[in-house]
Amino acid sequence: MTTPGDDPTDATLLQRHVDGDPDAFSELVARHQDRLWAVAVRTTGDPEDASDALQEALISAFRRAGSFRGDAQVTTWLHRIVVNACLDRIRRRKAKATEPLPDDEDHRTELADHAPADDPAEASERRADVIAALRQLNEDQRAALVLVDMEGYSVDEAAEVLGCAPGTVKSRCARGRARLVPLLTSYRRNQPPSDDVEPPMPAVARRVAPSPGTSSQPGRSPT
Amino acid sequence: MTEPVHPSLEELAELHEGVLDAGRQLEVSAHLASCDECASATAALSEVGTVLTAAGSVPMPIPAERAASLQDALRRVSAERAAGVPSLDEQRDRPQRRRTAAARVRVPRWVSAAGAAAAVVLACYGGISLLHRGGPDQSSSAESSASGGRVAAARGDSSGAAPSPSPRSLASATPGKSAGELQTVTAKTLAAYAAELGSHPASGAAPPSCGPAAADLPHRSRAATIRWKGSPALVVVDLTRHRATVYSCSSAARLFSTGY
Repeated sequence: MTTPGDDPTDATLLQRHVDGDPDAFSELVARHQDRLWAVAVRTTGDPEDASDALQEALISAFRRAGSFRGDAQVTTWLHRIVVNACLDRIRRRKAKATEPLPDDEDHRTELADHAPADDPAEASERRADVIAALRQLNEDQRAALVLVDMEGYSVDEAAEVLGCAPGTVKSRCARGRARLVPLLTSYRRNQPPSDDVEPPMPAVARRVAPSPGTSSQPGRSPT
Repeated sequence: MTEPVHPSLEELAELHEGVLDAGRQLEVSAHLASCDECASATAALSEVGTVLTAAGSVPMPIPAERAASLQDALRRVSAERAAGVPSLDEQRDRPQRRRTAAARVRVPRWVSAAGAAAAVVLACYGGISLLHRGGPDQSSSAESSASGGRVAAARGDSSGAAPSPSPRSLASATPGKSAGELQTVTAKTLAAYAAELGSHPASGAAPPSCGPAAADLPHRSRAATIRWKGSPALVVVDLTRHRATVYSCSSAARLFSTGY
């Protein structure tokens, strides 16, 4: 039990909340909201989705606090609920498939806005690039990389947050990093000839005039 | 062409993480040892990790207006909890909520105005008033009472029905038990009471009259109203974990919990 002067631990705050303290949960959230926000933005790749997922997750955590068993860190538990809410949201969006992810440019400004004043513009630009690059991955790879490479979680902790085996986290990280190489580094693999499945269309072919009347849709043949 | 086929970037990354399968691991490591191209690729993979870590180390504080709306939302749910609105999980609870809403229409305004009355209590009054009235909605009231009966033993186990304590038919199964005759349970007797309630759901227990606010009812659970330190309280018995938890009916706070 902490004395009133001490900063209560996360677990104490959560217990106070369960015991009916109306402000304890807000205090707990205020402590961790920046980190949870960062995870949500990086996992969803979109501030609007991140905001919705974070709110949904934390209200759910508020209500489910009584089921927290104390066998995990409170922060791990909160991360798990937030990451899962983000993944649910991404999957729901995919399932609908009518609502494309918002355009990068809309959010670059917001993502870059919150850099500390001494952060060079270049760094915040790079951060927006990282988020844009992460969005090219599937959500499982992205969530694993956000936790392990960006948030500094150990593989075991990330596995606990994601509810999968540590080996699965490692695989997802490995595959995700491989996909990010061309997006985030200057390295370009020498393509073996067999990989050139779809060579870029030669300029001369593109210049072949489409059939009359359909000039706005090059390549479409009249039916 | 005798030029060796390079392992893919993915394989190099998997080798680095130690998740490449054993046979391939030997081949790829042997190749890597003598291939500059693949050494560069491996360096690029590490660079990805470095770039991500650097980006992750830049603080990304939540924008003030988003933090404010988050705290507003939490204040709202906190106020709901303080008012005793049961916090049954809204996602799972949808069918039940619809019934509750239907029932609420028939509840006199003053009952709704009581506001703090738990939704389950409203559902109870609503169910009774549906039965008394009959009328054009007969079929839906029949469905409503049938569903009410199904969950009446307050078991939250099947068919997606919310684990909502529905006191009505439990009450009719135990005539004569009124709120004035709540069984007094103490910290010492709770375990025995829970075991009893767990094995005989309708054995004279008073129907639950308030909902827990701090926790969802577990999936397989039974609930009843008891007298705890002189005041009405809700006991929720988790049949899976063999755990009984007591909630205050007035403040919805969790008062006590024990295994049994």
